[in-house]
Amino acid sequence: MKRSQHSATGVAAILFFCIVSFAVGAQEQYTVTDMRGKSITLPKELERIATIDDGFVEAVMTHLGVIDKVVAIGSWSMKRDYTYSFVTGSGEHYTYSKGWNTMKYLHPWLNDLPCINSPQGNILSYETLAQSNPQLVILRVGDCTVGSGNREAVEKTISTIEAMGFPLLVLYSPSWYRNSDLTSMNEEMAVLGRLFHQEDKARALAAYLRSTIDLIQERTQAIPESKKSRLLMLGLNPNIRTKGGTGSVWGIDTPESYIIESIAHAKNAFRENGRGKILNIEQIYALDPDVIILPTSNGYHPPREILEGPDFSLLSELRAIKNRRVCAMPWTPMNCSRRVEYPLDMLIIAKAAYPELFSDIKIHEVALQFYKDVYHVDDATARGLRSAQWLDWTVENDF
Amino acid sequence: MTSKSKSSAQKLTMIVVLLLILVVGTLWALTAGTYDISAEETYHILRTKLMGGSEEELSKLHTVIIWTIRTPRVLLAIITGVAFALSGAAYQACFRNPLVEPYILGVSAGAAFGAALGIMFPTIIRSMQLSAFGFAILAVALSYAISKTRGRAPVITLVISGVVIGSLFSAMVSLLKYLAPDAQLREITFWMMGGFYYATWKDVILTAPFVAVVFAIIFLTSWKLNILSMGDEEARTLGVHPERYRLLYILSTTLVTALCVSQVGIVAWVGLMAPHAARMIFGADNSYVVPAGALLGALFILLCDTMARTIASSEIPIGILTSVVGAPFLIYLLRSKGKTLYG
Repeated sequence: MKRSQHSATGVAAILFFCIVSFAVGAQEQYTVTDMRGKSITLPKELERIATIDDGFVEAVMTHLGVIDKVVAIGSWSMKRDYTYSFVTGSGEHYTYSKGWNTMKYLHPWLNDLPCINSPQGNILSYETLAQSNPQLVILRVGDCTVGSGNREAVEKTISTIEAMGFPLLVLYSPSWYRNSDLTSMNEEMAVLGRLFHQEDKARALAAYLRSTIDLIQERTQAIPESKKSRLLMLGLNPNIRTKGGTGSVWGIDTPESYIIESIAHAKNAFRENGRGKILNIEQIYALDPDVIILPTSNGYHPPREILEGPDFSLLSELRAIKNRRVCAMPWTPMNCSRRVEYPLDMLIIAKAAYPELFSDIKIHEVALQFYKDVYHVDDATARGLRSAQWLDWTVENDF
Repeated sequence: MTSKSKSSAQKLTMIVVLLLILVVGTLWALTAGTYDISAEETYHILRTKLMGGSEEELSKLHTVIIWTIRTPRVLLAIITGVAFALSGAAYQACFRNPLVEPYILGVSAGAAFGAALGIMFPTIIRSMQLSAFGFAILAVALSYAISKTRGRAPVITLVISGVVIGSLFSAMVSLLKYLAPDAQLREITFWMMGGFYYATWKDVILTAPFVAVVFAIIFLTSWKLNILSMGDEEARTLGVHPERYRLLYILSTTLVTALCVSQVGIVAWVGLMAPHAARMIFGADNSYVVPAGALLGALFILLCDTMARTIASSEIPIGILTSVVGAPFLIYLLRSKGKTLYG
């Protein structure tokens, strides 16, 4: 009798243990649905993540405090030191060095991680990915590494990574949807929030970024059509000059134009479709914009380059140049899609268009606060980030 | 045994040796890669996949790397090498010109234009490969149609029209590159440098039968290539219709070249170099040049592609390596055997 009681107790204990183990085991996994609508089952504690993007995913992971889980990256923009130099008409030589992706500045150790992509971009090494042995691969389609242009290549990339047995979380950047208003980035952040069990924090980040749009729109939406500034986004890619052009411009169907027209309520001086369209001097004179914005275009282009550089001396009669209304965008290498720092881009455009409406906003101060809020860094690091983004001109000009 | 038959036996032996080198090279390529997988495990995975057996004991990751990533890539490289070398040999005989290559009628320029269109307008053109293939065929069809006068397409006008159509498509590619934003420009440029990094089993299964059939056609009628290379009048005298056979060779080799180019981009040098290398080693007889050229083309691309994916931590576009490796090899052959063959 006693023996059978012991047996019953033993069986009950084993059963209890099995049930508890099963329950705990079930809790140790969770499911996340990515932007394809595909559910991915993951271990609760993720420690090894490979990212394939240009820095957006890392930026959100930095905000969420989980960047240390990255074991492989997919873009050399987080490894490279960029340098750009030019000579003015009077022979002064200017060199801009240590232009860094914000993620490279914040996390120098990313430089030591294997990069799944080739330095020139576009060739993924699946074997390097396998070597890093990630628990999860996060692929942002539409960034430079896996662009949205070649959809067959996107499908092959996705199917190969899945065939390797690595769970794959796919994010679609705004360029996948050809979505100029950037709303799909909110969903990207929400997916990453769910992934790291911090959905509220991720949504708060999206709302924080969105608040800049609201601020700009609030101040500019009442501007009548006749008083709208005419902006020209002018890329000064040196290669263009070897082809007989002077600069490249962004048409009304681009995200850049959406920022100019729908957020800053200014006017894109170039009224055609297309991006990176090459114009010669006469065509730029015909547009005669009020303001010129210089984006990253195969190099960093400070206002001084177009104001004083010999290659642009024939543009000196342009109104924007005579009035010295030229601004440079932050350094954004390999930024095929939008990045977390987009509010700064928008504020620079808005303030360049309507300096009087944004006289209380100093970009150099906003940038510091932005870096502190988004990346939780101290003042010195924020200043370092601002320099790495080649935004020190905003300090020099109290912009 | 006559000296001629002895020489034929030697050539046959050399072809068999080349085939063995290709087999060994293929096995070596399958074991080479950034991710370290032992030769034994590679063999085990291949044997299980080919001969059957329990896949449960295989590492899934290793199986994917060997079977899904490396094997189709290696096979597509071999198939492409065979296709380009075949085309080169056929073109050189048909045009009676040692300088022509499969791209002479505008295949590469047409394919590049189709690919660039696909990259620039992905929502309109859903398949970049199909677009590249379609425009490659269109370019050659245009070259042929333009050169045709009074029902005939004389060689010289065919070459000239090929150069013209090729230039036209190249100009249109330049225009698209000029207009393309940075990301798409990078993609077009990469496609034009060629590479096997997107190779899949689907590509292998699609390409292999066509290349096999064209190889069979050209190899079995290689004696007619010999006659064609003597000139049209001589061919007619010997009962070979030069126009008809030229059309057959050009059409069939263009088809496989376009098919391969649409999948792997433009890989330079192979179509020009492999038949010459074969000719310098085996003599001018196309019965040997065709199989030997095909083997040398396959070996050459296999070597370059394996180097492309293993010598650096990141991949090097194969177009760069085919030029860097191919040029010195051809210079060596020209210096050592060129005088004997070309006088």
